[in-house]
Amino acid sequence: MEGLTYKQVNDTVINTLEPPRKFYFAIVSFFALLFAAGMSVWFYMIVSGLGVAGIRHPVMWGVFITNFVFWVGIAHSGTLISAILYLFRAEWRMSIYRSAEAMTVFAVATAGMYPLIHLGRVWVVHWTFPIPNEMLLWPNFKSPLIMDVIAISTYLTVSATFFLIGMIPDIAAVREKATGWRKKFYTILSFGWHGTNEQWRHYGRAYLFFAALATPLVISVHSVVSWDFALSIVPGWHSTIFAPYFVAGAIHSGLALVITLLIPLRKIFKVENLITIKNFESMAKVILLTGLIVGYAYAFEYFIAWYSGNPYELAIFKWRASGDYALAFWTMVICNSIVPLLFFFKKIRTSIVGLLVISILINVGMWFERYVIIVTSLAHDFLPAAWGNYAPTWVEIGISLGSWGFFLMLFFLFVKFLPSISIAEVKEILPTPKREGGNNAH
Amino acid sequence: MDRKTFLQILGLTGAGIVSGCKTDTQRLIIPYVIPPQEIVPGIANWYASSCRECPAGCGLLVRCREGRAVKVEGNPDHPINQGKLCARGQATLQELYNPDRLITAQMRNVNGSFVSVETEIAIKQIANHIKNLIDQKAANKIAVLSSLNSGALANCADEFISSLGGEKPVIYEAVNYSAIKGACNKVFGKNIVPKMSLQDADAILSIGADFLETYISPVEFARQFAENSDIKLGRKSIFFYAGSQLSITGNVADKWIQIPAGGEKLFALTLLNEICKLSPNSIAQNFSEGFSAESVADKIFISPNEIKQTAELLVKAKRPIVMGGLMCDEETQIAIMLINSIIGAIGKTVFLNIPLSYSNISTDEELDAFINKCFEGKIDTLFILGTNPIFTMPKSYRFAEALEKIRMVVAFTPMLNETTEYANYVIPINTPLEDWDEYQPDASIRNYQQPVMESVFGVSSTGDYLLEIFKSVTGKSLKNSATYYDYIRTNSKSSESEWKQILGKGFAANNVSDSETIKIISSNLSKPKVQAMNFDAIHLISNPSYKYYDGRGANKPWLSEIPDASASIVWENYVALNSKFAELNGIKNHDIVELTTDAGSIEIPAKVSTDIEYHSAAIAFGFGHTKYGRYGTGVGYTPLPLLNKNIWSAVTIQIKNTGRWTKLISPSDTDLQYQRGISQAVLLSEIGKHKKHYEDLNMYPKVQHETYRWGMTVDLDKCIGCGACIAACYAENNIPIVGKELVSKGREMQWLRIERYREDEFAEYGNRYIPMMCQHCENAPCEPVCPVYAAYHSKDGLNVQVYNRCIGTRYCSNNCPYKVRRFNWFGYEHPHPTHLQLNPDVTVRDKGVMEKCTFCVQRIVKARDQAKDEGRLVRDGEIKPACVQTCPTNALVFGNLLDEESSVSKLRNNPRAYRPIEEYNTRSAITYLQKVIKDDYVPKKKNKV
Repeated sequence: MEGLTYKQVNDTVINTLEPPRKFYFAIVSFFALLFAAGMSVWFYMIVSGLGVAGIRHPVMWGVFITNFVFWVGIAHSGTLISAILYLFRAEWRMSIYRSAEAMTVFAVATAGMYPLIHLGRVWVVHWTFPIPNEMLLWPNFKSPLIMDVIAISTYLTVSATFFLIGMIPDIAAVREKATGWRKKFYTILSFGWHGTNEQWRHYGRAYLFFAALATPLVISVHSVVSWDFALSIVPGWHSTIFAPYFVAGAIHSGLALVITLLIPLRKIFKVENLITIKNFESMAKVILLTGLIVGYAYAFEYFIAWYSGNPYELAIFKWRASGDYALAFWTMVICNSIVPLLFFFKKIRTSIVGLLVISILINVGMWFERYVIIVTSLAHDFLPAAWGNYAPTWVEIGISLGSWGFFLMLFFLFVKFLPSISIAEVKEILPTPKREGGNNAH
Repeated sequence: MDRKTFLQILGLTGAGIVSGCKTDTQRLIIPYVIPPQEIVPGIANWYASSCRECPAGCGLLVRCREGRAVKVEGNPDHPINQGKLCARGQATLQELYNPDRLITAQMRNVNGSFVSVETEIAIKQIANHIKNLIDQKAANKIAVLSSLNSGALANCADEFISSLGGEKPVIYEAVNYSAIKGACNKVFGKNIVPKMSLQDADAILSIGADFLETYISPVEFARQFAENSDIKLGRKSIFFYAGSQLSITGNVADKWIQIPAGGEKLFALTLLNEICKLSPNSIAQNFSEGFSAESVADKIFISPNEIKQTAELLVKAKRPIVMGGLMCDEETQIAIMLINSIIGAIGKTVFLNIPLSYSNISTDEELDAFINKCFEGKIDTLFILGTNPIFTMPKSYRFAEALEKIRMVVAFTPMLNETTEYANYVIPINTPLEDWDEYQPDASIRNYQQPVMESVFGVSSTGDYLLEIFKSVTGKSLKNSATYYDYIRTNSKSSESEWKQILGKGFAANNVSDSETIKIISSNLSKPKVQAMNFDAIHLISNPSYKYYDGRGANKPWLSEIPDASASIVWENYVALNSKFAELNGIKNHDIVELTTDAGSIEIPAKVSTDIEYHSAAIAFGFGHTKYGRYGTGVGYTPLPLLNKNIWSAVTIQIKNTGRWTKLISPSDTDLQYQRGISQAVLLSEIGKHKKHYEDLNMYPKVQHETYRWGMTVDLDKCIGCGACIAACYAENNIPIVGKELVSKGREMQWLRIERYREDEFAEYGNRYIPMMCQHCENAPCEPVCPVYAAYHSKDGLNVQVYNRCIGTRYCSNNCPYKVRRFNWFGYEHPHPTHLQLNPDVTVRDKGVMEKCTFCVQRIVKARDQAKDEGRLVRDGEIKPACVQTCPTNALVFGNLLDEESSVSKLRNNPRAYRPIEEYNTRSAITYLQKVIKDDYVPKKKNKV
């Protein structure tokens, strides 16, 4: 970022919002159609019954809940980067946190669809909310699912607010150049920002408070999601290691997806000067750490299974590694804890190709992690006579693709409507402009 | 606008909105203007009747709600079944409400296809035809082929045909005991099938007789058998099973003597010979000469000691019995009857003074004579009453060709089957629950059936049609009976008050002569002919399926969806092969094999196990219908093309692997318990010794129950795995059937399943069963995880599922260690008229909700409310969930756990009591009692190879 001026930063970022080419419309419509198709499959499933999906007795949760946990996990890196790293004063976050935050909000929204999709009777979903009613019936606050509802909705609210608040100065900058209806749109979103001293002071404090508020949520939301499993008695689920294990896994997958999305983004928008290889290297280092934590958790689960002397627990872990789902299990182990070790090599963690390949592999691995935990534990629990294997059908695959369509559609809309790199914060890390032969800094 | 106008307009608008809301679902409904006297909406009527699913003749009580039968139960007063019923009996409702039943008569037109005609017109045409025959002085060309009816319908058919001038009806049943009848005739001079009883029997030998499944009177035998082995009473009756296949019956035996299929005769003769050595009898000695254990045992791959041990057991016993199965021919049965006579079973366990209805079945010779007459053109008109011989008679009878020789075949049947394909007229009749009838299972009892509801399809009974034909032919009423009811009424020879009493009870006792001294008559016994059978070849036997009997049950989907007890297969059958044999011949489970005999060949999937002797193969009979309604057609494979004239006898087969493969569908993937102690067994001498104790730890205060905590005990020593409980549960709780396809996807809806595990601790063969239903845990894992309190704990200890509150997260099922919850993956259909069977006391669940066993909460609530009205507590045994009510062996007991005197509480403290997965502190309300294995009869341990 050396040698950049404030004006260049402004222009580079605002230029990303220029009217797109036809190709962009094609991509957005493709994802929108994919989303619509996924929704149609969901509708078909509502009409015919959940039996058209592959879930069965005893594997009552399958790809839907896997996707749910996966997307909640994805949603982690955004707040991690924007809030926790903000508090830690990590400068490398400045240019990437905006898109990571957007990813968070969209991923939570995507994740939020799955609990609805997987319900047998989605039309009475409001019973899970504590809505006062004449029957005096409340939801069961002992149920991890209710904790989930609360955790996810809190997280969505806070991260969306944080996202919008953090964007105010940038939107004001965009507003200055926008015309027509876009002007109105940005005017509303900029909340009357004029860049006065007082406003900056308030903004700075608010941002800090939001960061402080969002930080515990990063830990809590995925801990609560992990309790969906840990609070049950199912062997392979009932484990105290789950909360930290899930949080580390979530950051692992979230950062990987940030890398996967940012590499093409910086290329397309030609913002290589703002999002530099240094940013990626820092993320790769965090991934290396989370990869080690996840690998440790995998190993420790086996130790506990053996150490507890619980035959059900031991059987399920043996079966995971050697049974019908061994392929999924080893995909998970290799992609999540072996492959990221390559980031120990500076050459690999600074190579765009290396980063892209590994980040994609990590996301494949993290999806399989959830799949393995959910499916194998249910498929082989206590009574052998009730065992049964699960495989998704086209319905689950269709809805999953639809949710990717939803996420990517939102992300593509985001990069053309909102500044995907924080103008204000990038400027903070630039050297203070100096007067130099007629070059006026803005 | 003033206030008044405003209000006027407001009122007008309001009225407009109200009238505009009229939906088009409004129909003209008509209330009961004059309600029938007996029917009180919401209150069930019970009618006594008789089960006709097999000739055993169990008594029924039929529960009717608002004029339709919703459940059948055993009649507790009936001496045969004493309130119990098997799965086939429970499923008799599906015969009644079968959607494929005929509504009108079918007449074959010139093209050879059926057209519907008014039944009245068809009857007239048949009557005209008979009139013509009589005019031509050819009345003797009229014949009747009937299923086994003893009592009024048999008499009616008899008189009908003899009054017209024809010959005595031929009675055909595929499952017949002609060999026993012949044997009794030759040995004792009594041409009957005698009543047998296991009451207090202390030594039982079954030579291929599956008396817990289909043999003679299975429900009665099952009850008596279970009573005999009541450990608490110190009874230790010994049961040996000699046969080629470990059936449900063989599975509960103390010892399985593995003889090859077809080896029964050698075994019986040798046993007789050995018994003579212990208890000399000259006639028997003569008959069995040359069959010493040493010389014969080798041929049938057993050790001489096994025979000697059996002989000793029988001779020493006080009330022994030997039963010979369907595959035993007459000479084998002679040997068995001689044994019974020598060991003193006659008069104690075998009653020659009480002939069973089976005695009326025509012998094979009579059947052959009849078929010959058809070929000779001596039969012009044949009435087929209720039987389906085309499905059960092998080709060698040439019965199909014989039918084609007959000018007019009239079949009386509720629905089309294989035999109606050869009929000119098919007359639809009522099923046994819809009409009057009388049936005598044995000489000591007459069962009466009454129409418990109006005919579902508005048809009439065989008896009524016969009387009608008779009247239009002769102009007179048969025996002055205008209707079949009158006929039965006259036949019953009872006064008006007696008649009412009989109908109320459902049966009447007959006097039987006291047992006279029965002597063996020597003159009729010729030396047995034993063909030199090569037992090294594979022999196939076919057994009547315990679900479908001779095939008549195949149209009842409840039965099809109950996993078969031997291999847990649904909606299909298979050929059972020995695993060692299969391994040597490269046959694996699910491989389609080609079986060939002299008679023909079939292709059928194989299921290999150690539950069949090495040289034997077995196929359950009753599957493979080509025409039997939507539920019966195309289910499984029939072994008929392979079989001899006596379809139950062993035939030599060649087995060839076709290399093709099909998936036999089973709801469970494995039959191993992995040492998890789910279905436990214990040695008799070690009862109560190796008990594990789990500390009752909990962070929360104990659940307080007020007056009741409902609980159940399941005695695994009594459970035989017959599946009657499952069928009863289907009927009581409106459980949908899902079909083979969905079972393969884990979508079966049974609230109660019988888990089948291999006897891995004690033996290399055999199954161990454990009925698994909601355990109603006090500390239920399903309850806290439900986000909306759809699963909660009631104050009387029930784990309640509120269907209307359920949103379908399915977490409860995930967290249930017993995996007994069922999810409604679809909205399941109940096609017309099967919906009439739905129990109005139980909700029909919609798609997307979880359901499970409720302990039949509707019955609990009813009894509890009644007790409350009467100011008392519910009495022990007053509430019987459907499964408990029907269990033929009384393995299930239900009651109040808070009452220390209740039988369930006492059983819960039994030293054999345990609860699966107890260490998870679920504190379930169901306690299982370990199966007991007698120390002397510990089967060989598995040889680890």
